[in-house]
Amino acid sequence: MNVAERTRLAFTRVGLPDRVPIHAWLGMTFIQRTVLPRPARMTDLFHQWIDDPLGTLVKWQADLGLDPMITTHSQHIGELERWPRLLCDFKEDAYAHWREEIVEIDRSESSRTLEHRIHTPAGEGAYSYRMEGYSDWPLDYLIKDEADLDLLHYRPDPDLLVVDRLKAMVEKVGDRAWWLHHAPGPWNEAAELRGVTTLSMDLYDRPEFVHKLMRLVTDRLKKLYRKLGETGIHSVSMNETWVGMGLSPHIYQEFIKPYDDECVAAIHEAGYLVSYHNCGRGTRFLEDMVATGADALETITPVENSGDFDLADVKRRVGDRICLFGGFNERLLDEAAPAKVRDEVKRCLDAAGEGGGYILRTSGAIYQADPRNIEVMCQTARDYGRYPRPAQGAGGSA
Amino acid sequence: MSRREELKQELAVGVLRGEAPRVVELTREGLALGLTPDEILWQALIPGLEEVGRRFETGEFFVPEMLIAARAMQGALNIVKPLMLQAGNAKSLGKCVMGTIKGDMHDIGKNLCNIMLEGAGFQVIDIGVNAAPAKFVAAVQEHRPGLVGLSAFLTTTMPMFKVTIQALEAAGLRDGLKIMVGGAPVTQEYADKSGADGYARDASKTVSLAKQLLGVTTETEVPANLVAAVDALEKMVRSAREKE
Repeated sequence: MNVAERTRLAFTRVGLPDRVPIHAWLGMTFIQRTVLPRPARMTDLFHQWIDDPLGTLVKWQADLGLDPMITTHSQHIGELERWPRLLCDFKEDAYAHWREEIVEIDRSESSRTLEHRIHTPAGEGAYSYRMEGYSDWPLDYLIKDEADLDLLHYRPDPDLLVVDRLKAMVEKVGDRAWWLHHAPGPWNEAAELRGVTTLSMDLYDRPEFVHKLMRLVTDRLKKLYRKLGETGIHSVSMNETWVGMGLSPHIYQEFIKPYDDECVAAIHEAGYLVSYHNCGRGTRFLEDMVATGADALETITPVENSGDFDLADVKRRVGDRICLFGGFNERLLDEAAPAKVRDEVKRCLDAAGEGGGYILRTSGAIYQADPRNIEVMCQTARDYGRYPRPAQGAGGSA
Repeated sequence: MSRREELKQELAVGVLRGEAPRVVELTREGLALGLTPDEILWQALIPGLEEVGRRFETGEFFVPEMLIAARAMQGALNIVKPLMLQAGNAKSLGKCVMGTIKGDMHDIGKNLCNIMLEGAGFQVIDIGVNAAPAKFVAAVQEHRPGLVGLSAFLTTTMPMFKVTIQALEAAGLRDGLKIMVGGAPVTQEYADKSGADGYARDASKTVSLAKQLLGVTTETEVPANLVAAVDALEKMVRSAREKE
């Protein structure tokens, strides 16, 4: 069984794979420290990935024992991403009514502060952010008041996105890795446009405004998801990170879920699968997130890793309706003894492995880890995660 | 009930419901009626904010409700704090330097903690986001607080807790100084490993942790009639909406 077949069975729950799939998201700092030779510039590294994904991204992960997973992502507003733009950018005419002028407003030894000035037929707008290391930090946001919503009508049209490079990369990889393209969900995109603190207060101050913003964002995202359907990716991680900030079920149901539902439906219509990404808290509205129709739920962050999910509880409550994609506490991979890593794998598999519909995945990205611990994690899961599962408490062969 | 007593109750309810303009208006009215800034803070605003914290801990309130309550509280604090300082009678439970550590620009959690701490009667010195260890050292040297709060939102920046604490030690400032850490990805285990004295899971817990670390006891209690007053108001609003 190849990687894509295995993960697809877990995602769709139509049958049992040969074993539980094992995925991880390797963070840039981990890759930079462990992958040799180190490229001189980040752009060189990205070009290597695009030109030779099998010899780079897929090989590194397979060597560690992982089922390789490729996590490309779409560009977010409010940050300057080099990797997405190399993969897919807009045709020139997409910017006909959305002219962006980038002005450096501050520079220090380790950072640059840039302001994006947007010119549209509806008026001018601006947002700024600081670039430091691999991170971009928003300093202020595009939507400062209700009038700025008009600017959004002129954002580059996702139909004009050139996806050829992404498509070619997907074709090169085939079924030797699971493709999980990251794209924002509507609440996340709204937070990036407005700032999550202000947006949270808008829920009380001006609820109609929040609905207007969510409508505009959702309509555009649905077009983006449809466009991504042309690339052949297996799945999208619909990033609703800010859903996990600590919202009430009532707020989620009224302001977010209806829009999430539409996006999930659009992704399914485009012919690929969707994993709902909430890397924070959400056990209170777990059933609501599942009711969006998503195929998988990530990252099921355990309390030990500052989430609020108990994997066994999640399996009991919704395991018959959705694939559970996560739950492993990756912090153990840094300093813990191998025995602890084995125990953590077994905890996850005992909690959620039964009957399929489970993918062992680190709940957060791996920024710092002992590669030997990743190997232990993978080997344990390969041995202990075989289907049919051993009777619980039998200890497996790890 | 006198108008002054009624007003204190309405202020507490206003904070609880996050009604910023109303809280500002009531604060001004209270001062005009002869309430002292001290009475407004300790007998109205703080009880309101403490009820916000209690509801957050019991899961009745969530982050947006905390944010609007904190904003309402801040509006009133902007009026009463200068008056208290002017009169030279600003009571303080202690001084606290707060900042988001180097490499991290997130401030939602830190800002909430600041308001909750300030609202609870602490003097807060906010050194902002992306604060390098040297900035914490300089702030402690300048302000001589009893407490320092370090905030992080990203897993990648959390190692700066340890580095910052080590910098405070190296500068000879650690003795007698309590350090608390918090933020979305932080756990008690991680706080212990970093060498912090305490960990707070959220803004509400920060206040009780700060009091515990500095050994202070609260002088306020949520008035028993506050909960009933809020319930009555909520019923009124619901019934008005239904009539619409």
